[in-house]
Amino acid sequence: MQKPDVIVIGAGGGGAVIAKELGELGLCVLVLEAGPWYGNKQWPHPNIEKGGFCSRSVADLDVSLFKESYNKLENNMNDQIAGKLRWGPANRENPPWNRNFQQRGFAWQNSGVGGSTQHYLANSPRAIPSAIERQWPLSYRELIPYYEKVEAELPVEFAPTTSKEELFYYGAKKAGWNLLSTLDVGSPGFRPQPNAILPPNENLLHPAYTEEQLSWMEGCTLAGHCINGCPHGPSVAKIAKRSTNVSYVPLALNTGKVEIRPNTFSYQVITENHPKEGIRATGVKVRNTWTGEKEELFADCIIIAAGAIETPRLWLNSSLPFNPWAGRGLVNHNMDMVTGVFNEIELLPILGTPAVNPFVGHTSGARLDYPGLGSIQIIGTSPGLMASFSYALGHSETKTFHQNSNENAFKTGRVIGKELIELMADYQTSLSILIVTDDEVDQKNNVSIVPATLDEHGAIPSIRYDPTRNTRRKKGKLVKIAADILFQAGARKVIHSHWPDGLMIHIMSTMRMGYVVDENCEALQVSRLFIADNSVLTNGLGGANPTLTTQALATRTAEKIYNKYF
Amino acid sequence: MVISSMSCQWSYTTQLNFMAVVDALIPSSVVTSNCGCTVQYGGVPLSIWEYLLMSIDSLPVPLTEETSQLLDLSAFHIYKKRYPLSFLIYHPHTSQALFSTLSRKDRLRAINLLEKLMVPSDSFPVPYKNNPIIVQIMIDSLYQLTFFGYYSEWFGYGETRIHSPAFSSLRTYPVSWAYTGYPGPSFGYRDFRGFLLKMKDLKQE
Repeated sequence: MQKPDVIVIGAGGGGAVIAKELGELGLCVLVLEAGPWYGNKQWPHPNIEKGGFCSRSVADLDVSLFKESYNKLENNMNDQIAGKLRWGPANRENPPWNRNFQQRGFAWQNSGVGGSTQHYLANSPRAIPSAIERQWPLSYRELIPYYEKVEAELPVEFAPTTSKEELFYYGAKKAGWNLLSTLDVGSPGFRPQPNAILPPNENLLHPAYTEEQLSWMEGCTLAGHCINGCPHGPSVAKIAKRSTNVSYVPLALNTGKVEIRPNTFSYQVITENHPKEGIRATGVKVRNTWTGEKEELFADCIIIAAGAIETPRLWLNSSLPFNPWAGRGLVNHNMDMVTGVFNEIELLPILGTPAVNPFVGHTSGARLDYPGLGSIQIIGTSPGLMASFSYALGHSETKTFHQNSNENAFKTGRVIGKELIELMADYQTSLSILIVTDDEVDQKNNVSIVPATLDEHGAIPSIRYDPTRNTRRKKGKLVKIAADILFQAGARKVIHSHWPDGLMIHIMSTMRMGYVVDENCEALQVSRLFIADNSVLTNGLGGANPTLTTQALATRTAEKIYNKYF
Repeated sequence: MVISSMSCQWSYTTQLNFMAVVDALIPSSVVTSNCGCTVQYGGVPLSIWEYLLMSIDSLPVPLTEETSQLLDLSAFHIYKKRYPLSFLIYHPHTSQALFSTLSRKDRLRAINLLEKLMVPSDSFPVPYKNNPIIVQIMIDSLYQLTFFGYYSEWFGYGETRIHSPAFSSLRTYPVSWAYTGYPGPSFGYRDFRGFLLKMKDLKQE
């Protein structure tokens, strides 16, 4: 490729979207991705050898290679230190990339084409409108056409009901909550998750087809591997869960204008002082993660889509102009987990079966939104992830189960030993609910860099997060709502995990729109430098999962870039 | 206990301490059911201590020896409190694997003291020395990795566990799946119960 019109840093939830949109507008786009590319003939052994250099053709995508890589085994896929879906280089013999944490917790992200959408649950709700109005430089109404475009492109559909959704709906109704039949949430209530997952295969209930045959056909098979990386479908572009490596990346390659280079870590933005435009971005310094070779690449516009930790790190390591909000305002939805354990005999009349089977269906297929508080979302994972997220991640507490005011068994904190063994023996009759708090932006919460601690890409990022008192209050209310729904559904005991505040899954708002970038996501102090990831979100969207909004904004930003500079 | 060849890369005392951690968190147990009693293997016979050692040494800064020392210091703190009049002096060499000499209950206490920052940190090895957050993150990781390793397919990799993860493959049935009823990876399930909402219905409104 000759000098591209645009360089996009990161091929994840936002980068792949903006690359496709710009490619369709006729611009030459070079996408630089730090991690591996699974399912591409140029990299037949993506974790073992360096493979090719770049790919620009949809013919390079190979579903057999994809399925070989995404083998659905949770340790192989989800191990944060050496798994395929980790934050680190393609070569798994090398350690993950380093981060400094100023509190307990960790950041759960993926490198690679598709970014963290490789393990995301494809939950694609719109923002809570009241979280946008008068708080963002844009109105909610301005976002709607872009939401609609992304929802059609992915596509987004409400999750089908399986046992765990049915149990949640039963408990929610009994607890007095109403069904919300809308995408634009203005009042509390429950609903199926709007998920970027293809509807179930139309032959799913047809006994003439084996499950294996169905897994090679179009449509979700309810196999429950969203979080492990979904491999089911007839081609890469028709994989059921719509991570961007199977949705927007094939569409981007189809334009014939987009080239993607994996294994390429961008560590510095190059700028110049232009007499008319002032400081403007002109290029990027990159390093190949296999060979260590460094290179400088140039384009007319630079788009950073490296995620809400690496994007501010890149800004700070590039010595871009001081901005009091660069890296600041971090929100993470201050998450937590509540798990209910049921008796088979209680489940039978509700579900018609004696088990919840959390490993069946969309990993997260139902939610309850509460504007002003946040949301709660059911989650059913493979057992290793469930044991660690429901029972290992909390604080150690000395209390054992106690009866709450309603005579129900409730426990907060870690579970170990015999108690853990018993709870995990009830895995098939357990249902977990993720707490997603509408946390407040606080300038003290930030991503900074540690100049004294370097890796091969410069000073490493340091993450600080301490929720406000109001955020803690909201989280406590959501935990009570989740526990109540589980008890109403018949749970015999409920375990509140009590996660550390610094557990980062939805990482957002570190390069906020209106503070670091303008309403078109162009940096206020550096022209031709745009951002297209979760970092530009002005706040935590009221507790809505961030990917869809980031993708809608990336779609909008592509239009703005094209109109302004081309 | 069969110690695999890869274990040679860690000192025996470090191995003992990590076995002691795993044994405290997930011990072998007798499980009763309608069919009678059975033994459920704990984390030690499933080699989860090796998973911990491999994982912690695969971090950007390998920390198995330092973490073992951290556990010993907490054990020393417990002994010192229990026997205040005895002449006990901590030495990084002579006190190796002190943690593993504690009862199961005291090992949990030692881990808990570290989590609650109740052990003086000025004698901790770098990077734990006077760095409470790193201590707490490591304690959290001991729990998380033990649980994740135990209940995932890791034991099933058999002798290939010692390879780089890119070269390991399932060689045997991961026995912990039987403890949870997890059927393993699936091509699909037919538990489709319809839709509560459809996007097209909203758009017609």
